[in-house]
Amino acid sequence: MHKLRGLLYLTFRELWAKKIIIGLFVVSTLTWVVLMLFMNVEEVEGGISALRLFGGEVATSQGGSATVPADATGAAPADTSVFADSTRAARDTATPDPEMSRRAEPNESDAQGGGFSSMTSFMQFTLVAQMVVSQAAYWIVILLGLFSAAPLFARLLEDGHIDLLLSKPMSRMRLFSGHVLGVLLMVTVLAAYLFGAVWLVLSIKIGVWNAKFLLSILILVGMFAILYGIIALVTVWTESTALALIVAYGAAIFVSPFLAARASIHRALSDTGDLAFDALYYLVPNFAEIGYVAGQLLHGSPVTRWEAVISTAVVGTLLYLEAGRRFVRRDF
Amino acid sequence: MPNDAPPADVPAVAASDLAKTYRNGVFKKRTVEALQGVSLEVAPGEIFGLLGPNGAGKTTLVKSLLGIVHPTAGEARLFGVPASEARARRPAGYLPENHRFPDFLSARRVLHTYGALSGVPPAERKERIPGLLEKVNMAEAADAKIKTFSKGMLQRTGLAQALLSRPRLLFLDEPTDGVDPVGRRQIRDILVELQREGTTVFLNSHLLSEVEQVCSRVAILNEGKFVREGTIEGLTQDEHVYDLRATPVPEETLGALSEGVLTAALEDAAGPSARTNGEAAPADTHRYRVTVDSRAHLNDVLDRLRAGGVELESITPKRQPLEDYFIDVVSRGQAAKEKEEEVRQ
Repeated sequence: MHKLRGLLYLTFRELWAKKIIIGLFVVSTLTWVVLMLFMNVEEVEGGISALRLFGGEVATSQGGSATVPADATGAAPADTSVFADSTRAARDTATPDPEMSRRAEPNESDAQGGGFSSMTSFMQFTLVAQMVVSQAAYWIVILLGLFSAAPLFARLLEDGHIDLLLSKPMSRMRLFSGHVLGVLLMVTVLAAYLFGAVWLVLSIKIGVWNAKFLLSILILVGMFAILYGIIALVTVWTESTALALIVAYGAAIFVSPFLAARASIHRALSDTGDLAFDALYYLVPNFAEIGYVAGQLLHGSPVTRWEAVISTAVVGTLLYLEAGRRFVRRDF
Repeated sequence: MPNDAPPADVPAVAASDLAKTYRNGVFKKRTVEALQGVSLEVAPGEIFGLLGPNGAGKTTLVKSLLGIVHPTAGEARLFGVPASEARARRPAGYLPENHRFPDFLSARRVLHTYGALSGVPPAERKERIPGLLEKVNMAEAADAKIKTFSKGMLQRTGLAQALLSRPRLLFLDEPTDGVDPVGRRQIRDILVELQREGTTVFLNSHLLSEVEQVCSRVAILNEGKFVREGTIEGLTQDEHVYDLRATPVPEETLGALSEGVLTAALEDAAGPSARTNGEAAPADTHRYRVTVDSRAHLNDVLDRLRAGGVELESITPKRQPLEDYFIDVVSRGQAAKEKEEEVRQ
């Protein structure tokens, strides 16, 4: 346990020494601070009447449509929708806001993910704000996080550093997995801080407790882990951080958007082309498509692209297995 | 100092027919035979010196013993445990050549971090680190960042790191590289103290005078093979050549001996030498070099001298400095290689 703790500490400190991680924490702080300071709620008779962002009105109690009877405690069907938690929370806190209590239970179409237009404008605003934060963080945190963490793996393999680590009484696999775990823990802390703080600010201010927003943490960390698998494999193979970043960014930024448009591209390809494209689809982590899945989860819509999630998870596992195998067999 | 005692009959380090071939190049594979069937045993409590010119395979040997490099053939064990297993490194401390600590950490933090990686509990680290920093003369710079350290300070921090887990076996690769003479002396003293406490030290150093002073046994590695191995005394002693201090040898006694058997030592050619081993030598004695074929021959020469009225003060086997011996062995190896290549051409 001491060894793992030592390894995690070393990885955390190395990442912290990279200023980008500090920068990401600063940006995360700014995000929730801006929301907290510049998102103002107007209350009338104890209830929310309007929501202002930077002084401009973004939602009112007249906006959107509430389709459910005011009696939120009525016999509504079991709610599995995106706003189930928010309605329960609203009910639990017995908010006097008539709008808040009226919006309560989403109808069947909401449960199927098609009820955005039927939500109150407060719900819509919350969802849009969370979607913006989630998607921006998905791209920015992952890509900058990779940029910051990639040199760490090369540093792990440096002469004079790796010798010291390998001379300690721990297996190579433990050293490898401990390092990866350290990097992923740091990203988890960052994501939990950003999403947790934004979620709390939006929920406390507006009263819409959409817990599904927190699934974004899982998606972001998972996708980061898979792309870091590329970094680990390419670096342990070639010792080149630059090449590792080119491959990881190439897959995420240049290839995955094409893979996300699989259905329309299929129509334009021959049978052989289809086969080649499918091979690429299953071999390359579907970064863009999983970003879309994150949106679906957040919105409470049914996930339509499990194939991309599963193939990306399998590719990620294979990347780590091969990187670990090479790390164990290598001479340093 | 060492933790749980090792079994007395198990060598601290054992290697048999250790070989390592590196293959470089993407298209045209180039092979380098860094180790070619190296076998050795280091007994517990010994200070073993590994010598060799650059590129001889010394670092590869140390890395193979620690499982950092996978041998192509052969086997290495530390206290009887195969070097490829993580538990073999439990009793070992290591100071690599050109080690790199994270430069944003302080010396104290480095010791805590690497101590944790060695499995040293926090309470023990807290207790031992100040003493270790004091021992390597780094107490004053304990909280300074590594990036501000000189080479000598880095080496001293590295040594403290290697000692933190109370190793029974210590591998040191050029420990005094970049260290000033005072620091070198301190490191030597630490090694001697460790030996007294029963720690085995495997020392890889270019500084032959240093090796000569602390090592009980050395091995010379050249082109991946051991070319000599033994105690310093055994290796550096000139076979059948002795230094003799005695009263002047009469001409007739000298004439009775075969030519070249007894010669005046160079420093005594102009007269009696003043000192032997730092002590004043009797003014009426001279130094001679005795070169014989065998022990019997030596006794015969001494009998003749005594019969000629010569009084013997002392006789000691002649030793050459380790450095001279090393250069001799390595250049002989080089000459043999060149000759071999000539024959081949």
